[in-house]
Amino acid sequence: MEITDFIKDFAAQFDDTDVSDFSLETRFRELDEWSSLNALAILNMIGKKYSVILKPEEMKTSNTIQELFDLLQSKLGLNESVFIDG
Amino acid sequence: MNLTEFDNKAAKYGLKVRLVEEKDAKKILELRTNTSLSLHLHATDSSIDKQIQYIKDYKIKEQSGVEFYFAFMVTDSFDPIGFYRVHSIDYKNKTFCIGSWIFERTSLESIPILADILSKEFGFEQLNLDTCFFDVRRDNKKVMKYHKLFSPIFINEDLEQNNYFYLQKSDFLHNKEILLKNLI
Repeated sequence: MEITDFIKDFAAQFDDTDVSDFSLETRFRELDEWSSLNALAILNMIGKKYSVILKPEEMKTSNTIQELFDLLQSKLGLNESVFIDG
Repeated sequence: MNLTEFDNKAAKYGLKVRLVEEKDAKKILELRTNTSLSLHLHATDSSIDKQIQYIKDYKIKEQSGVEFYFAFMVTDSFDPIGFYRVHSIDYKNKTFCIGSWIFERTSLESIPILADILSKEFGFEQLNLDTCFFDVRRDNKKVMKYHKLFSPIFINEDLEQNNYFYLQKSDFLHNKEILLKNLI
């Protein structure tokens, strides 16, 4: 999973924020456009593209795109180990 | 209207609900005149007296069971964080309308969506209605995308940038289960 792809996927869930506004350090909750609907779109995107079910309670712990990416990677790691063990 | 059943459902989603009172006028006005929150909503008069009068008029409709204006709170608080209106209830044709959905930014982003689902459950399940009508401004892309997750039927559009839809109970019940998997 490439971080650059993740940033693009993340940015695609916004309608009015310029793509150049998104980077690893972006504190996404501070964006003018941010709302619960962006959060839902991001959770859906993560579910569909990365096959990881991330709950709002988990997402709450991430403030930057980097933190969300790290969380996703940790979940992917868990999924992989479960898969290997199974 | 006995809201006990509705409030019990809300508790499962970490929310509390009650009907709007005159004391909510200030908070409703605060949210509806917040430009970033109300960008795509119908314009609201910024007079507190008019808001109070609006609530007084609403309470008459509430008494006759044709409209319910909900205030939502998180379970450990008595301060509303958002509002939602189920209105134009037609028991004969088993239809209702939704609107006035506005929430402050919360730390847990699923809350406004759960309130939307709860309010639709109220119409479809508690009131046992079959069809929900709503309109969305065409430029409100995010809300449009969100509503489309429930597979509503497009009716028409007007010259004032509004698109009109209806949502059937079966589609709501099916799609809310998919959505809830991501939310709770």
